[in-house]
Amino acid sequence: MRSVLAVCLLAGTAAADESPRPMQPVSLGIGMLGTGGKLAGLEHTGIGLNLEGAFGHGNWQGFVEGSVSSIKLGPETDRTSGRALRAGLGARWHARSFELGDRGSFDLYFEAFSGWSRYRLDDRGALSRPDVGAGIGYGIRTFFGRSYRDRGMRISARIYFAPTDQRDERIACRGDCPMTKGNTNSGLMAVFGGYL
Amino acid sequence: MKALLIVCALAGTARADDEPDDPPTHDRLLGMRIAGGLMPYDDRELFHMSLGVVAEYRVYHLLRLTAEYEYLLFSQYEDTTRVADGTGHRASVVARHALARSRLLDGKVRFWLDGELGGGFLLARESMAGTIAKPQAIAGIRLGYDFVKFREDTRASKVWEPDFQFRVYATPHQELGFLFGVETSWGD
Repeated sequence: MRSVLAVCLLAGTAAADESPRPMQPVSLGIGMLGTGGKLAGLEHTGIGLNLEGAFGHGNWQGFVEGSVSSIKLGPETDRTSGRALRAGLGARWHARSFELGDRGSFDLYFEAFSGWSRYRLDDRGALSRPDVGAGIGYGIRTFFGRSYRDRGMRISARIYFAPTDQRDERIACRGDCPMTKGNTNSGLMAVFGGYL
Repeated sequence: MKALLIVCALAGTARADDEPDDPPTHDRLLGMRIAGGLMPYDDRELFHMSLGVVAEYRVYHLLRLTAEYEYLLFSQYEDTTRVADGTGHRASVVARHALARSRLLDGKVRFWLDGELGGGFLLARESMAGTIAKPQAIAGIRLGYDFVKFREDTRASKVWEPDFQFRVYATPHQELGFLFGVETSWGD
């Protein structure tokens, strides 16, 4: 039993001395989600709450996330509001880390993700769409002993692409879409929050 | 207060090109930039926001070469109404050289002012103009500081470098746009 404890302690020490500091094996995050771009050919903004669960190994992390947002859709003269639910998954690469001694670090991340959103508009029905994208994240991490105790804050700026079709546009614009171009909508998505 | 610190640091600065006893701290940089600006197009002013990835390599002493990719969101407003929008991509190559830099203060921090010259190509799709494809010349300045690594026994990045930048973009049609950005990079 004593030798097992000794091995565990040594393993913990080795992990603590790793450099750069690896991602946490398991982490939970909560934050704000902001979106801006196009939905069904119309300008769209949203803000809401985002929850994330992540599993890390070395400099990589896989994550699942879910959000609920309040959205606005359409030009100011013909704007509607509603709610959006989004579920997504992705992978995150911890690309660079600048360590502040043994107290913490500034981190750079790259992300790739995919998700599915359901929008319920107050006066125009509901529509849904998948999305795919990539992003860059910037984080501040505080070290606490072993890596799984680390805490931090992260902001991710993401580009997303989502398909749209005439059915969605008819719902969103009530039949008349003045600014529709192409069959892909894109935009920016920002996630800001803390994790532990 | 921050501005005052920068001015004081630059006042105690040596020239940027002749410090053999104070060599550059890193050869490569990888980072991100968030920026916004105005770009004229066909007598219209397009506001744009961009998200960029930058990779930089030191080619000679304090001369660095930067390769960049940006994703851009365009919009045009009349009063408060958005009348046009679009998205685009821009790839650029920029040479950057130190104009002034402080000594390494306390072995940890260095303030600097750099100048930039380069070129890029913009490919965008906008709701009124359709496809926009144009080369752009770039000139700019950057003001920032380097944090140099706090401990020697680490394989993490040697340098953390946040900076502000202001750029002017010129097209072959004598259109002048500008961009103000905040960049954060990690140096090795």
